[in-house]
Amino acid sequence: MAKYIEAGNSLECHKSNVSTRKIVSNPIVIQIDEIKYFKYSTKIRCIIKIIEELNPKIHRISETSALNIHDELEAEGIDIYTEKRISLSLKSNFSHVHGIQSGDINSFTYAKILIPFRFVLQKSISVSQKVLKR
Amino acid sequence: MYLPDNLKRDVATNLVVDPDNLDYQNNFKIVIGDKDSQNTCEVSWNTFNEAFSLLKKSQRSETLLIEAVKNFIRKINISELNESLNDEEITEEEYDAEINRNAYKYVITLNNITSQDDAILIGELVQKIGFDLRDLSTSEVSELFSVKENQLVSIINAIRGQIK
Repeated sequence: MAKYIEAGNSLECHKSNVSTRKIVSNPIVIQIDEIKYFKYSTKIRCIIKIIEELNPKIHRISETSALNIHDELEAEGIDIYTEKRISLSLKSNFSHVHGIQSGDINSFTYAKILIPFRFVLQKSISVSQKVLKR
Repeated sequence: MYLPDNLKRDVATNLVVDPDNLDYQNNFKIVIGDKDSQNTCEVSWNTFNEAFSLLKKSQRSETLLIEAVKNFIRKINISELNESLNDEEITEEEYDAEINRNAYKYVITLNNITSQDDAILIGELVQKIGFDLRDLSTSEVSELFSVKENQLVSIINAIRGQIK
């Protein structure tokens, strides 16, 4: 089990669980290598966790994706690609103040961090500035 | 220079060519006319190649921009279909059937990037479009121009590596 928080980190799985403050409920349809996916964007905060691994455990979209059970992504904004349309239910008491939408995705899921948390972004900016100064 | 067979013509001319003064390496001559009159135009290979690559680039830009407009229209189409589903005007089965039947109208296909030049051209086009309207993410750029995001990012990173 590992948690990934950097921009560009991704996961692929057969089933997943997603919790987010906001999801754009109208997906667009993207075709990659002859397979159609519904693409959703999440905002403000999102956690997505693998609850069932791929079988066979082989990358389908990105070779750097996490594939192990209970691996998760957590970030400000995550793009989620699924083979079937999803609908999330509204829950409360996620961050003790705000409500969230959450649910299981019972089909192939590919998720990728688009916008990491601000502290992660600032850390990577300061690292890249140090590299440039050398 | 390669010239397709259907464009090759034999033209009668009394143009006198002095082999000693001919600069094959840097220039070439275009002869226009008939038996009685002719005009010659001398062009350097550099100028010709620059003009040819500019033409190729503008043609490729046009193709990419047309694809971007088509993908924009596809996003409008799928948005309308989503609205119909949300308003219960159509069922989920009808929604899926419509997408499968008219995939061309709704589905954005991400293709492999065949040339490094395409990635550079996409970068230039995005810069020209600007970020005033929206801060475009790499994922949005890939959807706009129908290219795979991973390939676009890795080619741009490779180019940045070469520049260093």
